[in-house]
Amino acid sequence: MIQLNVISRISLEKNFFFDLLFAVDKVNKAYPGNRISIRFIGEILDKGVHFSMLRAAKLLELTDSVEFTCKSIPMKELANRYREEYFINLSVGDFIGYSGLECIDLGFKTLFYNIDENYASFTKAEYCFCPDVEAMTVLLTDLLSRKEDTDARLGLSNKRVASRFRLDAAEKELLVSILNPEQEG
Amino acid sequence: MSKVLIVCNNLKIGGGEKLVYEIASFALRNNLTPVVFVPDAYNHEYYDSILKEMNIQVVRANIRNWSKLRNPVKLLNSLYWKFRLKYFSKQLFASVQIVNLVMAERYFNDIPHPKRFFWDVVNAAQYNGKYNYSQGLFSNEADSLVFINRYQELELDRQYPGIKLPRIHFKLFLDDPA
Repeated sequence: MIQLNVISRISLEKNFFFDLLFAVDKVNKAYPGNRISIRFIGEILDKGVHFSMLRAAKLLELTDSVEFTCKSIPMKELANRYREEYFINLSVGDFIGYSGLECIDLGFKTLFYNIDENYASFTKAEYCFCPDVEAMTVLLTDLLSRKEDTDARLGLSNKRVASRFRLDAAEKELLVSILNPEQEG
Repeated sequence: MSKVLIVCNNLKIGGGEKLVYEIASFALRNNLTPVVFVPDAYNHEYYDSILKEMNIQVVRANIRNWSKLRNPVKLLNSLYWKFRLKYFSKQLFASVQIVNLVMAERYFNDIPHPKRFFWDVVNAAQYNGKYNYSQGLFSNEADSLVFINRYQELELDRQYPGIKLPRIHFKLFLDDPA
């Protein structure tokens, strides 16, 4: 079994969860012997979205494979419990937010799902990014069929993505100038 | 030591809030004094304790919603901060960093300062392709926009042509003290 975790508040502006349910459903139907489960870790901010997700899971016969924590959990608390599992974070093109970055820094195997089709082409350079539902389905299939190789590729890709977020000397200087700009007059 | 005001909507677990923490943390490490200001909300949240342990001041005071404010201490504190920010922010702070353009719009007239930086922390896809900001958000050419990814500038320019604010292309970061 492959366990996926999605770290996100359940709210309208982060509502791409149906894409993930669809990808999980597609792969589970193609590989009935191996199951992919998905756990949503995050506070429920929009009950309508939550209800719709529950309904979609039921219609797709995924109820047993879908779980909600209903509360946000600091990433560090997840580290030991879910070490061998996979984490899905949302991306905008090749841009990732802090939860994705923290996932990688804590050593979780992290996949990124692009939420804006206009920027799909920017995701092609890194293995851990999925530009669309079809690519997510392919990556999940890789996890089932070629786990070790996929894990290795994911790990390397994650490291490269994480390295983008350290500040170099010039960036530190720029940030200081933003925080403490020279005042005129 | 120069003070930096960092304005945010809340201090719960989340990306924008993490950015507030990282900015405050970076400021502290670079001999600046960050003051985190959360207007119109009093719940104790995830980063409140973390920032307090770092001896970073977190101020929660009313700027707008006065109608339900009954506690005399909170009332006095709110009046104090409203007055300070409206009339003395230039003298008190080297800069004002407002995280999230929604907050920048909401408190646009409440914290005047010649060096305001509006951190854009969202993308259009999160709002079905369309932002809800008014054009007035971009009316003060002394304010600066800080972008955290390459797509935000395009998205804003597409929906709000003619923005003349200075733009800074930065990023989300983890400032490793090591």
